[in-house]
Amino acid sequence: MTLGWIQEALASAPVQHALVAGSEIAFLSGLVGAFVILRGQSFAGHVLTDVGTTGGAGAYLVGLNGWFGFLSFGVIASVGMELAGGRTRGERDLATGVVLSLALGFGALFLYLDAQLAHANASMAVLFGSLFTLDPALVPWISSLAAVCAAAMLLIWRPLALASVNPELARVRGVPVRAMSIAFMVVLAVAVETDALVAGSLLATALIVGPAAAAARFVSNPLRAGVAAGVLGAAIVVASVLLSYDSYNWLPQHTSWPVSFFVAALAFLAYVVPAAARRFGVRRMAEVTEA
Amino acid sequence: MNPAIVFRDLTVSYGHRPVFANLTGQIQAGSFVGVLGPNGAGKSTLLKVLAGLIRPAAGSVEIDGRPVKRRAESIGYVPQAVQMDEDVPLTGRDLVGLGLDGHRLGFPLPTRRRREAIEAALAEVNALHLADRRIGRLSGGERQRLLIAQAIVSRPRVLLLDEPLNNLDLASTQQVVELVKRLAHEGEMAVLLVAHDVNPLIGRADEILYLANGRMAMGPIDEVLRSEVLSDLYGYPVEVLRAAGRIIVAAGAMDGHAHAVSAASPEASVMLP
Repeated sequence: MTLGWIQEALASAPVQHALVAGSEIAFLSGLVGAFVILRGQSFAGHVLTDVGTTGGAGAYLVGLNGWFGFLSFGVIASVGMELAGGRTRGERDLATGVVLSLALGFGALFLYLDAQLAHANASMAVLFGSLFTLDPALVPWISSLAAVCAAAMLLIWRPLALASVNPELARVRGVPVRAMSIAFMVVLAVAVETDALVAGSLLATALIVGPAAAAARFVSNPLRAGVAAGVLGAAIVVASVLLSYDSYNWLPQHTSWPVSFFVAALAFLAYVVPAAARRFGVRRMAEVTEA
Repeated sequence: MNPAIVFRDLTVSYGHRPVFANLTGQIQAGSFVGVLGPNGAGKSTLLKVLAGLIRPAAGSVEIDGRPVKRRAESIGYVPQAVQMDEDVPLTGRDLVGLGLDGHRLGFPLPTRRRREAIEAALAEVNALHLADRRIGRLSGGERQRLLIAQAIVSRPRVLLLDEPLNNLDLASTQQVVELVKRLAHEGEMAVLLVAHDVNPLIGRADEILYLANGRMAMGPIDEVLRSEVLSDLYGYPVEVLRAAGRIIVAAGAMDGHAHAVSAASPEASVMLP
């Protein structure tokens, strides 16, 4: 078997852009994902993808790049959820659910209008991702935004962790707990909404939840789990981009399989395979002890 | 003797609803005080005022002779036992470490001093064996002991515990209360523990602070949990019953029925005909 196709893939500009932007945002997503688990906020991640759908579809409608729509709606929604939410998690989820259905209603309208009036392909791009058709001008923006957000996470991870497990003690020690929550939600929004470019808004949380859940099984410190999840996520995106490129030759009709499928499949494998291996390993050890 | 906490004329209201008014008292270092009273009497609010988290409408709080301020390392705070997912990536050691320097940015320097401070706090709550376990996989009582270690790792002068016994079984409740008593007496800390039920505190707390009807009574359990004192506090007749070493507070209500609970406050969780 020859690996010449990988060299060929790496020589292509869209593949290069996809690899750079995709792996950077995947690293941020894994890092953020560990704190989503610590804070029990995976519901918020799902909300942001749904609201992002509306923003992305709306952006195509007015002729903007989808990323700006995803990002602006996601950031507004994340701050709004923090500010408007009730005191308990239940109240917050309820308030979020109501706003969410309104946003999704508009999302449905925008996707329909996209298909009728603007871009026939817009709804495919919004829902399933558009990594290979990424505007090259966006790559530096995505890179620097991901870098700034990752740096911010590394800077605030301790106060954020303290505010997550014991908000009163955090406030006694002078941590601005509210500001921490808002900052985290904005970083989460950046990660989720940029993931929507990679894996589509339907699967944007795959890169947040999957690698972090896999890493959290083996690494028990939030920061180390986050970094491990980030590296895993980046590896998943690199593999997905290359597989998607190669899949052009898999069927006689010659059509590339979407990156989002590979991302979801690999994230699932990363979560399931180690667990299965561990269970198998435990059983084998049990047999050894019996023998 | 120098009191660790002094509060004068504390008045707090939420909107137009007054929570309590003109509370004055002091708590000595090395003293373990249980905070009791019916729901909504402001037990947790009082704790938050003492911690500097809520600004009172009137009155003042001094910790060690100085007005309470934000960024206080001299105060430890333990919340209610919380549920955590099993796979949450946080160990007992991480949890305690956050109590030492969790308010700082960036990474902790892995110094020997830091490690020893964390181990000492873990040892004080008998939780050295939980250091590398994930907090989501511990029992409520084990997690609560780690939260106490988190609160005391910075060597505070004042330890505030807001309903730390909720959701704990009887054995864990007694373990936590014994631990808190030992920390107060040996560590020379002023400890306030908010509880629903006075019974786990009997023979362990030095004093109780009973809040009701916007006012408070403070003193040893036997002096405060008396019919005259509580009737005066509530403004209507309250009976204090002692049976088999337990205390039950019962109120004769206006409709002729008696309400009773074992939680040492006359709330209508059990209706007696």
